[in-house]
Amino acid sequence: MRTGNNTLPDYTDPPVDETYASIQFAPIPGFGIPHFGLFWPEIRKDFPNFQVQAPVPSATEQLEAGFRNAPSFGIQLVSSPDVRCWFLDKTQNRLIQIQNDRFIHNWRRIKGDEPYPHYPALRETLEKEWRRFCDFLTREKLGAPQVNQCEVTYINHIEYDKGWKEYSELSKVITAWAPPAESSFLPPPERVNMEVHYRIRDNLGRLHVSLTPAIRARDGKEVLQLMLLARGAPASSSVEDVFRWLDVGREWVVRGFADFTTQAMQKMWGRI
Amino acid sequence: MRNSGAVNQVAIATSGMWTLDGRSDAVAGNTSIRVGRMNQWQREAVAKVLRLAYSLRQNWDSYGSAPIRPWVVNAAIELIREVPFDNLSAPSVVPVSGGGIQLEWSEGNRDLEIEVRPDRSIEGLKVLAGMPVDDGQELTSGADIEQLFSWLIAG
Repeated sequence: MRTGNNTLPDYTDPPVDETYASIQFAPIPGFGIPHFGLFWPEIRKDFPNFQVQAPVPSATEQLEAGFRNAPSFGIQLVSSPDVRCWFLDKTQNRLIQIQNDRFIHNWRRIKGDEPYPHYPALRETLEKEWRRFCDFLTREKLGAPQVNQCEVTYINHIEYDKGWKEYSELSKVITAWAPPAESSFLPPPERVNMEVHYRIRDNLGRLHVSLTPAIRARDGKEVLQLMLLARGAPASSSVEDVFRWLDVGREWVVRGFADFTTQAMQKMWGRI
Repeated sequence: MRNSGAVNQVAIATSGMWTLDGRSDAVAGNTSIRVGRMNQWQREAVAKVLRLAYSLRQNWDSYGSAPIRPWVVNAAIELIREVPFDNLSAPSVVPVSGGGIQLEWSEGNRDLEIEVRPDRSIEGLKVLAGMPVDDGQELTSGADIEQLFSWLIAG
């Protein structure tokens, strides 16, 4: 195991296509478009390319009574400036995304055969860059970010014809899906979309699991996309509390993945 | 057979990844199109658009043409999603100089050509027995799409 938690499952060839960790904070007053340019030189050696994107809406887990298992819908306010900047490394595998109320670090497959770098390395990069961003905000007299949500997401692409062929065999992939009974009236499903939501212990947040057919952009191939997203509020805005929450979120994603998928598939992915 | 997903307005994504519910989930750096609610021809069409978009580079036509623009890819996929009919064949998908895409459906002696342009316009052209029926029309709503496809399958 190459993570901080030696009891977590690990895989030599996991089906992960992308993973990202997001730190969301209250919109920073005074943070404007020039600050993207002022910050870039600080990370340009590692992230020499950039792209301008539309900002993503804020997302907050509602954990009080009355929640109906639906993430944010309807009108969503996007804070000013209406810009999100991607800073990409040379390989385009890693990117840092910054907007007025979010800081995100992604790792993604571009060619498809890159080895997954594993969480400790991604965590180390995120912490280094987050500290650098916070130092920058302090120097610019913009204040320390007031963190309100953290998020860890893994997007897995489970390919057809590798351990299963079609949706009649979905129980070979997903433990929560029972095989059809012999006397079953219904034919095998053509396709399956599934969303499951779990409350993280001690009301720390929520784990969202979604399963859906998806077409991968880089090769136009249809796959079964299994996304696990853990989101919740850290105890405080301190770096220690933020990363403590991210570690918990990551643990729920990893353990959730192990519970959600079958041992046969995990064996194929090289479970250690 | 009509697809139950008919809409009154064309909603074109300008960036990001479309999710199960058609909402943009742009935090992901990679693009993947969720197709769980699409029928067979729509899934084939989306795969064609993506393969084409990711295979073309700058100057793909030797005349300095730009690669297919992200907006064009998103708009083409959203258009495919909004077609309110199930019993179609997947369209041919061809690049257009300047960074656009043309989708071409054929039913009997009727052809329908829809061009998604990098200037953020979409134009549909009806062709009957190899001859254009009119000068083409700009598509601005789901009703425009439904009207064109109703003509196509009436052949």
